[in-house]
Amino acid sequence: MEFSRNQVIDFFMGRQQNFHSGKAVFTIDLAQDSPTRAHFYQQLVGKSVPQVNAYWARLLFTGNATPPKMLPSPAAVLSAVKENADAIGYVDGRDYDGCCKVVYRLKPAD
Amino acid sequence: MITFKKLSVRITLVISFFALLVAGVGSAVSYTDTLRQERNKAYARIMELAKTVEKSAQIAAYLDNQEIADDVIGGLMNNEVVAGVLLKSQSGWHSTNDHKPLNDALGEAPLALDLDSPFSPGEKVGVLQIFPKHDVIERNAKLIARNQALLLSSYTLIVALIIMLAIQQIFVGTIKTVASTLNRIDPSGTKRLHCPLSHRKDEIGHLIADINFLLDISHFRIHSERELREQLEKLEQRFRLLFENASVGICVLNEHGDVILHNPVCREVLRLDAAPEGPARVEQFFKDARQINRIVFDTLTAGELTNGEFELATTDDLDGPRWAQCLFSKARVSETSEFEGSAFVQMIVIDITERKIEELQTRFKAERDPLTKLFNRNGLETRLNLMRDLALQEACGFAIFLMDLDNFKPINDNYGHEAGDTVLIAVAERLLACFRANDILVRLGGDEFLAALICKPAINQADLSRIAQKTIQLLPQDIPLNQGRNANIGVSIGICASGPEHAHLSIAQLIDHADKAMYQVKLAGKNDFCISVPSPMRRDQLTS
Repeated sequence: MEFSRNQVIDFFMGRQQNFHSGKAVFTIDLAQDSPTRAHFYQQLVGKSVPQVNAYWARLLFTGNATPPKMLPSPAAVLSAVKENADAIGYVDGRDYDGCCKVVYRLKPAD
Repeated sequence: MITFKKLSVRITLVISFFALLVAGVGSAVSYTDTLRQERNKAYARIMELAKTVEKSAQIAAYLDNQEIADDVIGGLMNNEVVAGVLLKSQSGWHSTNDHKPLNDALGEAPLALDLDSPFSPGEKVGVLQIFPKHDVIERNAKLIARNQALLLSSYTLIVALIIMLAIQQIFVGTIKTVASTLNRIDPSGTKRLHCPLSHRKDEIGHLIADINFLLDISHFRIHSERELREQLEKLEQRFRLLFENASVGICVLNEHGDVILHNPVCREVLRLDAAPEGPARVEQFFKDARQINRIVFDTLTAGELTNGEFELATTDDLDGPRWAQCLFSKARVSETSEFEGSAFVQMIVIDITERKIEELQTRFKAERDPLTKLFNRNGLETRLNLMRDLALQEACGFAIFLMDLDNFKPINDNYGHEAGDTVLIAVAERLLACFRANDILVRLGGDEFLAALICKPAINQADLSRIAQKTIQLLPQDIPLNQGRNANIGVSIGICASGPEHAHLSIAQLIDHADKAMYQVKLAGKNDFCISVPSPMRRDQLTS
C-alpha cells in the first residue's frame, strides 16, 4: 500500500488525521534541528523549518490539531514505526534499514 | 436699486454666471466620477483586505479549521463595509460570521477569493466570499463625492471672487476714478486726468493719455473760440458805439424801400414804433411819400448822394409838423458779404424840427406885420409873382385888390396911435373874413392894404365885385375903441383883374393899375371899389 504525495502532505500537515480504515494516523517527525527534517519539508511542501514551525504554532492555539511527534534520531523513528502499525514517519534514504514499509518515496526531483 | 448698466455690476454678473456654470457642471461631473472611483476603491479595498487574510483563510480551508476561520472572519467583520463573510472549503465545510448561510440573507453577489492549498499552489481548497455593505459603500462614496464636488464648487467660487475683486480693484476701480474725475473736469480748464503708476503702460494708461490729449484739444479750441468771441464782442461794442449810440438816426433800406436796419435815434425820429407790423416802408414816414420813393429809386440807380429837408408824416393830431434832414446814399456791398448782389440805401436822419420851427418863426417875423399879422412888404413881389405864375400855369385869372382906408388919419390924430392900432387890427380881422384862406393879404404900410387872389377858372367880375362889396360893407361898421367911443372908417378899393392875356405885364404894372383904379374911387367919393382890366397884349407884343 502506497500513498500519494498529497496524502502524505495531508498526513504530515494535520489535515488527514485518520486513515480510511478509521484509525488515527500517528505521524512522527524528526528532531527540530535535524537537516533531514528541513530537507523533508522543503521537498514535500516547499516550506522552510521556521515556516512549518509557525504553521504548527498557529494550529496549536486552536487546540484541535496535533503536530507530528518528534523523535531525536532516524533510528528512533524507524523503531517507532516498526512498533506501531498506525505510525508513519520519514527518514533519509541512507538511514533506511528495510524494517518498515515504504509508502512514499520523496524524490529529489520532485 | 442696483442699476444693471454699471460696469462693475455687469462684470460681477458675467463672472458669477460663469462661475456658477463651471461650479455646477464641474461638481456634477466630479460627483459622478468620484462616486464611481470611490465605489471601485471600496471594493478594491475589500479585495485587498481579503488578500491580507488569504494565508490564514487558506489554512482554515485546508484544515476545515473553525478557529482560524473565525479569526479570519472576525478580522474581516471588523471592517465597517463588510456585511458578512463566508469561508467554504472544497469538502463542503463552511463557516460564516454568524454561522448561518448568508447567500439568502444578503442576497447580493459577494466578492470571492479562491483559496489555494497553502502547501500545493494551484490546488484549490476553498473560497472566501465577502459580502460588502453596499449601502455603506454607497453612502461613503457619496459623501466623498459630495465633499469633492463642494470643494470644487467653493474653489471655483473663491477663484471667481478673487478674479472679481481683482477686476474690481484693477479695472473697474480705476475706470470709476477716471470717469468721476473726468466728470468733474472743466474742458476749458487745465486740469488733467492722473494715470496711476500701475496702469502707465497698459490700455487704461493709453486711454487716459488719449483722453488728456482730447482735453488739450478741446481746451485749445474753447480758448480760441473764447478769444474770437471776445474780439467779436469788442467789435460789436464798437459798432454799437458807432451805430446804436450815434446822435444821428441811421437806417438801411433794401431795394424795395423797406427799413431793414435802424438805430434808436432813427426809430425815434421816424416814429418807427408807431408803424404797423410788417416791413416798414420808408415812405410812410414822410409827408410826401412819392418824393421819398423817387429819391430812393434815384439813389439806387444813379448812386448819387441826395441831401434834403423833408417834412415827416404826422402820427397823431397833438403833434405839430416835424421835419428831418435826410442824407441818402447807396451802400457799397462787399463782394464777400452775404448781401452780395443786393442793393441797399443808407439813410442818415436828423430831426431838424426845432431849427425848422425857429426858421419859420424867423421868417414869419420877417414877412409879417407885427401888428396885424398880415404879410408885410418884405418879399411881396416874390410872393405875388409865385401866385401869378401859378395862375398863369393853370390859365386862371389873377386879381390884385389895393385898399386904402378912408378917414383913418383923423382917428390916429384925434384918439392916438393906440386907437389907430385897434382900428388896423380890426380891419385886418375883417379882411381875413372877406378873403379866402389861400388869398394873400398884405399890409403895405400905414392904412394901405393889398390882397391877391387866383380866380378859377378865369376872371369873373361878379365874384370880384362880391368880394369888394362885402369888404366895403364890413369895414365901415363901427369899431369899438376905449371909453365907449367908436371908430368909423371907409375903404377905397382898386382892383386889377388880369388873365393869361396880361402875361406881359409885371406885378408892379398890375399893382399900378390897381392903384389907378383906387385913385379913381377916391376921387369919386370913397368907400367904393373899381375893377380895372388892363388892355390885353398887343399883337406885335405877342409875336415879339
